[in-house]
Amino acid sequence: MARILLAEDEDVLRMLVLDTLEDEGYTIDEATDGDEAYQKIMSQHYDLVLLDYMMPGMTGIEVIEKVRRHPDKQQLKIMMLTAKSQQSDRERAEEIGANYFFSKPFSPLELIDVVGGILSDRQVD
Amino acid sequence: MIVKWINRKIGRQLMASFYVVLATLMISSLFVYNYTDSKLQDTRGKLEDIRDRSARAGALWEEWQDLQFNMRGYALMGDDAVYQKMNKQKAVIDRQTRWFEENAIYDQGKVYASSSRELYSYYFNAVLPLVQSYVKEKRQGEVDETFLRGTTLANLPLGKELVANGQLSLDASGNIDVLSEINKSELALGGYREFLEDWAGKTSKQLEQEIRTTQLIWLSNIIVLLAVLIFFIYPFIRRITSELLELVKNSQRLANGEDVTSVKVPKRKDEIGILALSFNQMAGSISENKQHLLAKNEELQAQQEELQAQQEELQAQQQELEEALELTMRNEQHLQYRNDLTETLAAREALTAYPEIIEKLVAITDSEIGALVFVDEGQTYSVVTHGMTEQLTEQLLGSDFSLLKRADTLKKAVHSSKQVSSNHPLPYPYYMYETAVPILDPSSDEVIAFIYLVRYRDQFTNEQMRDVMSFSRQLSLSLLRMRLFDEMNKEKTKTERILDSIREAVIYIEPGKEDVFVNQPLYDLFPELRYGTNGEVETLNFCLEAIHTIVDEPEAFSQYVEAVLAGNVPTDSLQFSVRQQTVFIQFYVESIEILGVHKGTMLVLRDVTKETEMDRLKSELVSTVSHELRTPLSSIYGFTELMLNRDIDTSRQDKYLQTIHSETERLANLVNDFLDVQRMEAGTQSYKKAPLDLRLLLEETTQFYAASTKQHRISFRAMDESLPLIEADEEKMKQLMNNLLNNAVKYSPFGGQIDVILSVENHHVLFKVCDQGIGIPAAALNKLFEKFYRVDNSDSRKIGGTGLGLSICKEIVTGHGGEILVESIEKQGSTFTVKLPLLVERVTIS
Repeated sequence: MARILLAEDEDVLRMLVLDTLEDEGYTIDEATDGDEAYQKIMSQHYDLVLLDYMMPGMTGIEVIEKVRRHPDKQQLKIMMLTAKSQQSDRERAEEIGANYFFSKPFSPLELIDVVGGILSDRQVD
Repeated sequence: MIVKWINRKIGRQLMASFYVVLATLMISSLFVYNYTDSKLQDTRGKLEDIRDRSARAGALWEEWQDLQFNMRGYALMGDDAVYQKMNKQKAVIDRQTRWFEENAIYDQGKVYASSSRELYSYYFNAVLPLVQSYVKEKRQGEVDETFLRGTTLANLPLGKELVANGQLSLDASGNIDVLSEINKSELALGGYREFLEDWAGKTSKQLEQEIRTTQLIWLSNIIVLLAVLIFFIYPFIRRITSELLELVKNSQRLANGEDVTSVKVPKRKDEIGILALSFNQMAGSISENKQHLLAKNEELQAQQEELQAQQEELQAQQQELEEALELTMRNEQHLQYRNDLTETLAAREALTAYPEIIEKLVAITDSEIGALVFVDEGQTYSVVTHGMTEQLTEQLLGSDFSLLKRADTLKKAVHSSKQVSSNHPLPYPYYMYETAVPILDPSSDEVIAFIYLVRYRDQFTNEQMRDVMSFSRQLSLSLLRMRLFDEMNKEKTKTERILDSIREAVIYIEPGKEDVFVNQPLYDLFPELRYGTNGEVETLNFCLEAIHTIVDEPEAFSQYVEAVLAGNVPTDSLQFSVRQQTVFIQFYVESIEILGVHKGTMLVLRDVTKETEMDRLKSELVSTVSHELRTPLSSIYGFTELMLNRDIDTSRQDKYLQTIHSETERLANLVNDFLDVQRMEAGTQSYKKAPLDLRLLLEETTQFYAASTKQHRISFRAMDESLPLIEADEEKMKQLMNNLLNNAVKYSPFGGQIDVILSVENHHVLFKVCDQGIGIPAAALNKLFEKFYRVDNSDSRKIGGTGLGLSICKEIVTGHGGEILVESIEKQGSTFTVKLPLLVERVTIS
């Protein structure tokens, strides 16, 4: 089954996403800030990374920036979970290397669909 | 060679003479010593020889004496041993005598030797055999006598034979004569000895004589040398001195300018020779030069005479010229004055040179005295005079029927003449010719001033009057221009004041002009502009460059400025920051147009730091708020959706419901905080104040928080037992306490002690909330109570918040007439102190 990293500093949101996706059978790894997320991305393989925008330590943007410098992390799928839905923020994140966006507040069912879609794409590829 | 070498230096010559004398002295002394010594040796040898001969003579004689005694003893005793001894003595005597015979030098020695030989042969050939025979007779007893008697001997057969042979002689009494022979020998010895002594004495004396002679020779030798020194060296020195004196004398003569043909050059190769030779060369060259100069001098004298003649001619011409020049100069002076005056009158700025103007007018018109009279507002006069006494000035201005009144009325030049009174200061009682020329304002034709001039000798000529009239017109124009200039200045000052009074910094430039006008706020905004100037900015370039150096993004600034200077006035403003974003400035440009013509450009710089800061805070608020709101909303939305669409077991349902509840509460609190801030901003916050026991409230809140956390130990302490009553809004006080305690817990993520301490101090009640949390950086302390401010570092970023809590606290405390303070050390903890006025005081007062 696919492995997903969830980087989110708010406990309740982390619980929500975790419960939602674990029920679908995904293996979920947690990170509570940007630094931890970066460490985990660099040390393990994930099929998808869900990254909060505003986090203590490194922000989501900073994590992507750093991760994308590594040649073997170019193909890593990263989805930004963000309350920041302004167009400019989105453009900046895309430029740096985020693949998908998902805005808060969000529907867990929709999240399941989106994640499922992204991961089945991978399987097709 | 050596002689040449010596001759080259006087010192060498002197030294050579000295060495010769010294050598001579040494040689003669050595000779004398040697001679004396050899003489001494010689004499000593001679004396020794003499002493030797004398000793030998003495010894021989003593041998003879001994022999005689032995002979007598033998004759008496007949001892053969004695005979033997005598035989030995015979040999000794023979040897000694032979020495003398062989070595005698002197006659006396030879005499002594022969007498000794005679004695020898007498004794040993005659006497001894005789005595022997006597002894024999005696032994045979033929002779019997105790003592030998001469006669006995002579009577012996041998004696008789010997006498007969003549070998022995008998004395008168018939005895054998022994003594006479002995005596003869003794006499010879005595003579010899005497001779020897005498000879020794002579030899000594001779030596003495010779030494004396030698000494004399030596002394005379020294004397001779001294004489040589005196007779040779003295003339030598004298010669040198005389030659030098000759040179000195000639040098003095040369110095006195006499003609010195040449000095006799001595045939010398030493210094004097060289000196003399050089001197001769010098004297020759000097005399040659002198000849040359004399020739030149004569030539010059001739020229001078010629020149003198020419000069006289020139002087005559010059006199003529001077006269012409004086005339020209006088004219020129007038012209110069005229030019000066025109220039003064044409001055662009303040016309203050009135004394100069009147002085020059007087000079140009050949007047004696003069004045400029100005008509001020209200028909009063002010006057600038030249050469006028106070009395004259008073006369001029005071009289109602004066010249000025007439000129004023007629609006043209008026003249008058009057006889000068005898008490007039000038020495000649002439007529006094006065002229007053009115100066009219060209715009209104009113008299604004007069030129007043006075002459004493003649009337003003037409030409002079034309001058005066022309200057009066110029003066009128100048005065008008001055008035306009004054008005312009007033306008300018007014504009400056207006520009200074606006808050925006302004730079005003006009096309084609380098100078620039700036207002006071520009200096306030950029104090850098004062550096390197005398306090005033003079050129636009300087101004822009000074600003350019402190702008954070100079390229954008330069671009904008270039566009402005190129004439394309941008409609948009430029916002930029300076000094590392400490000041934000809005920059816009206004073109000033009058009647459709572009007159200038106004560059306006507005300090928008505060507005920018507010904007930044607001946008931050929006993002913070949206983040803070979306998190609880997301969770409520998500959990409810899960519960609605999924089969979830009850324990999870409970957990979700609890989360939804607490998130809803969080949402409510957030909304309340925002509303509070809104009210605070609008100033509509009202407090329901009533007497309140702060102690009770603090105790309750502390207990509530102590129960809600396990990581932290929260305790309350009252330093005072009394009841500190204050007048306060209880709800707001609770909110204050909640915020402070909430922060203490939130910013102590690793737990620790939290103390709430209450105390009463003078007329105030103080309470402190102390934690051991992450603390606050010193740089953040003064902004801590500002709205939306959040400490920005890695520690605090992990902890959520809106940045509203502390600003609400401050609002509440100040709303209650108190103050809130913070002390903090980073990583060690913070202490918030709230100070509120006691109600008790107010009650007792009232």
